[in-house]
Amino acid sequence: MATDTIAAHDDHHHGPEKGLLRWVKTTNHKDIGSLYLWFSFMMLLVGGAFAMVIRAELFMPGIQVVDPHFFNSMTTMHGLIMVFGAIMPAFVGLGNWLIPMMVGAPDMALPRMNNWSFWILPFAGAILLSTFFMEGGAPAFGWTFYAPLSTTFAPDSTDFFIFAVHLLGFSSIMGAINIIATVLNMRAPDMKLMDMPLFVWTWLITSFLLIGAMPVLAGAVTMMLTDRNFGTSFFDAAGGGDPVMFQHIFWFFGHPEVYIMILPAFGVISHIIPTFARKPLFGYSSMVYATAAIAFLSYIVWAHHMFLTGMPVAGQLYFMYATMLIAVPTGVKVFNWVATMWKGSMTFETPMLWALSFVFLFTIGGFSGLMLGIVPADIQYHDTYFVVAHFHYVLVTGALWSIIAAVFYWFPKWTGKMYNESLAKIHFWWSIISVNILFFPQHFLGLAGMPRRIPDYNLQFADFNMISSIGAFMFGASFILFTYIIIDGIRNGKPAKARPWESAKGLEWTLGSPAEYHSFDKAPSRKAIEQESQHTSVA
Amino acid sequence: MSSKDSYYVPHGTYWPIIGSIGIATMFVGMANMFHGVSWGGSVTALGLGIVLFMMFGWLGQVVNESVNGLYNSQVDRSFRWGMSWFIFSEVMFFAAFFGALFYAREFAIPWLSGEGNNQFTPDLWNGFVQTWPEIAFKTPAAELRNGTALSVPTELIDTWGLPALNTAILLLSGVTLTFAHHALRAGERNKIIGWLVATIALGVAFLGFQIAEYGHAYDIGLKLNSGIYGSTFFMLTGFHGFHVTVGALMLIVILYRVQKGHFSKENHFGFEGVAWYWHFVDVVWLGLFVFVYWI
Amino acid sequence: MKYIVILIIVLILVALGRALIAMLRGGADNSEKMFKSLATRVALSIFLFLLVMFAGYMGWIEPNTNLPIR
Repeated sequence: MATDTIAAHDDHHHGPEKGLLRWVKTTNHKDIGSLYLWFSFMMLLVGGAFAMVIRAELFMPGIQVVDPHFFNSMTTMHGLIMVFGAIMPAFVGLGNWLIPMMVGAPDMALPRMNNWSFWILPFAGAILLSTFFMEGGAPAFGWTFYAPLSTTFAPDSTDFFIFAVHLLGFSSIMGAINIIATVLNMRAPDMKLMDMPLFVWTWLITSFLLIGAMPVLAGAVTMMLTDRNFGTSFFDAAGGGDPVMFQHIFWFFGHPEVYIMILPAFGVISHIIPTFARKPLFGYSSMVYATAAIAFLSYIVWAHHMFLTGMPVAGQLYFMYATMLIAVPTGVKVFNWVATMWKGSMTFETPMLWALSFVFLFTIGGFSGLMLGIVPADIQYHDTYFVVAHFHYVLVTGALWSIIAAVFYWFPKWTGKMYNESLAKIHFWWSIISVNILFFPQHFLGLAGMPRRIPDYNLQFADFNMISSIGAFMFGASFILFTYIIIDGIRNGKPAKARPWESAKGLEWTLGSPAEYHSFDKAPSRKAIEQESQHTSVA
Repeated sequence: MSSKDSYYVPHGTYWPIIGSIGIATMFVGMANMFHGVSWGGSVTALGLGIVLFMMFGWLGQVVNESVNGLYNSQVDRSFRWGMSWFIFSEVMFFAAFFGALFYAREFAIPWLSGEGNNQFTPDLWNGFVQTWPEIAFKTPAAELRNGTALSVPTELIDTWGLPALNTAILLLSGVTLTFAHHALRAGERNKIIGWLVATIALGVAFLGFQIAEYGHAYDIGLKLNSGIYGSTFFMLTGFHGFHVTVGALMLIVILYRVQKGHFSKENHFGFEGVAWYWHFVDVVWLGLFVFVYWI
Repeated sequence: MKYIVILIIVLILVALGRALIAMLRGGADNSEKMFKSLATRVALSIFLFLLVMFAGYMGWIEPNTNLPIR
C-alpha cells in the first residue's frame, strides 16, 4: 500500500485520471467542487419539481392535483432537498473550487476527507428520496419536523429520514473542518488574515457555524429516533419531556443554519460588485467584523421562531431585541455594497445583474424578517404565507441568486470558456420578473391570513395564488434556459482569458483559464497578494 | 520519495466511497431493524463491518504514509486542526443532550406541575408530582402514553455504589494516561507501554461496571421508557460509553504504534490527539456524574 | 456548594481547552504546555471528585433523590 501511494505521489504534476472512476477516487478540490455543484444542481431540479407540484395544487382553490398527504410530503421534501441538497452543497462546491485558489494553496488541507464529505451526499439523498416509495409515504411534517408530528404521528419512513439527516450532518461537518483547516493552515505564508478575500472570510465563519450547529441537529434527530423506537420521552409531555424542547433544540441549530446559507452569499456578492463597479470594496474590515457579528448573534436569537409557543414576556422581549440587533451588521453590509458602487464606472454584465438584484431583493427579505421578529406583529404573521414569502426572498433571491451570480462570474475560470452573454441576460430578466410574480403576492396572502402548508384555501386567496403559481411555472421554466446556457457554454463557448473581467481582483485570476488541475504548487508572493487584495485600489 | 517542502496531496482513494457504502448500509439496516424486518440486524452488522474495514484501511494508509515520511509539519498541522474541530463537534453533540437534561429539569417538569404563568399545564396532567428523578411518577398520563405504560422504577440508583466507583476508575485512567504521556515525553518506551496498558485496562473495567450498572437499572425498572429521567440518563451515559469504547480502541492502536516505535519525543501527534480525546471523555463523565447523580 | 462544584467544572473545561489549543499549535513548547494543562485538569478532576464525595458525606449536597426539585 505504501509503495502505491508513493508512486501516486510522483505524478503530482500530471492531470486528472481518465475514465469515470476519476470522479469516485478524486482528491482534487476542483473535481470535488464540480461534483458538489452538479449534485446540488440536480437536487435543485428535484426540489424545484416538488415546488411545481405545490404551486399546481395551489393554482386554484380545492383539491385538484394531489391528495393532501402527498401535498404535505411535497412541502416537506421541497424544503429538505432545497436546504440540505441544493443550497448547502452548492456553497460547499463553490468553497471547494475557490478557496484553495483564493488563498494560494495547492489543494484542500485534507483531500481524502474532502472526497468523503462529498460522496456521503448521494447516499443521503438516495435514502431521503427513497422514503417516497415506502409504506405510509414520505415524511409529511414540514421541513422543521416538529415533535410530536415527527415522533408520535409520523410514518415509518421517518427513521430513514433521520438517518439521512445524520449522513448530511457528517458531510457538512467534515466539509467545514476541511475548510477551516485549509483557510488557517494552507494559506500562502505571506497572506495575513486581513488580506483574505471576503468569500474566504465568510466561508471560514460559516464553517464555525456548521461545526457548532450541525451536531446539535444530530442530537435532535437522535432524540427523535429514540423517542420513536425506544420509548424515551424527550419530546413527550406524558413522560416529563416537552415538545417545545424539540423546537428549542431544532432552532438552536436552525437559526445558525439560515446564516450558514447566506454568509457565503455575502462573500460572493462582495467579490462581484467591486469588479463591475471598478472600485475596491468599500469598508473591507467592517465587512469582516459584520460577518463575525452576524455569526455570533445567530446563536442567541433562536427562539424568535417560537414566539407563539408560549414563553415568558422577558424571553419574548430579549429574543425580539436580539433579533433586531442583527439588522445592524447586515445593514453595514448592504450600505458597504452601495458605497462600493457609488461613483464607480459600472457595467452590467450578467454576474453584476444578479449581484445587484441580490442586494435589492435580499434587502426586501431582510426587512420582512424584521417585521416577523417583532413579537406583536409576529402573532399575526406566524405560520402564514408572509413567512413563506420572507424566507423565499432571502433564500431564493438571496442564497440561490448569489450562487447563480457566482456560477456566471467564475464560469470562465472553471471551464476556460465564455457563456453566451445575450442568452444569459435574457435568462436574468426572465428569472427576476418571474420570481417576483411568484413570491411578491405571497406577502399579501400572508397578511390576509392564508396559512402555510395547506393544499386548499379560502376563495378570497384565489387571485393572488393564481398569480403566484403562474410566476412559479415561469420561474421553473427559466432553469431549462439556464441548463442550456451552461452546457452550451461548456461545449461551444469562446475561449476565455485568464482574467475575463478586466478589474477582477483575487489570486484565482492569476491562474490560467481553465485553472490548472493543481492550483498553487508554489505559494504566491507578497507582491502578488497585495496586488490582488480586495483593499488596494484599482490601477 | 518526495521532498518535505511540498504539501502531500494524495491521489485517488477508494476509502471514502467504501466508507459511504458501509455507513449507508449500516443505517438502512438499522432503520429496518427498528421496524422489525428480519434482515435488518445482519445488514447492520455488514455495514458496520464495512465501516470498520474502511477505518482500519484508511488510517493504516495514513500511518504508513506518516512513517514513510511523506508528511511535513504543515500536513501535521492540518491533522491537528481537523482533530480539534472534530472534537468540538462532539462537544456540541453532547451539549444537545446536556441541554435536554437541563431543560427538562429546570423548565419542563416544573411547568408540568403548574409553575409559571402558564395556566394550561395543570389541567393537562392533573396531579403531576414534581420530582427528580421521577420515581413517584404515577400520573394518569404516564400510564396512557401511546397506550403503553411507562416503566416506573421501584428504587433509586445508589450514587455511592457503582457510579462513584466508576468515576474513581475513570479518573484514575486519566492519571495513568498522564504518566504515559510523561514517559513518552521522556522517551521511556517501556514505561509508556505499561501506563498505556493500565489506562486501557481501567477503561475496559469502566465499561464492564457500566454494563453491570445498566443491568441493575433495568432490574429496578429504570429503563429507557422511564420518562425523561430514564431518557436522559441512558442517552447521556450510553453515548458516553460509546465514546469510551472508541477511545479505548484508539488507545489500543496507539499502544501498537508505540511498540512499533512510530512516535518520537518531539513528534507524537497521534498520541496527543488520542490522549486529548480520552481526557475529554473523562471530563464528560465527570460532568455526567455531577449533573446526573448529584446536583 | 453547588456553585463551587460548577466553578471547578468550568476550570476543568478551561484547562482542557488550553490543552486543545496547545495541541493545535504544535511544536515543542506547546507540547509541554499541553502536557501541563492536561495534568492540571487531572488534578482538578480528582479534587472535584473528592470534594463531591466529601460534601455528600457531610450532607452539604444531596444525591439526586426522590425529592421535589428546588
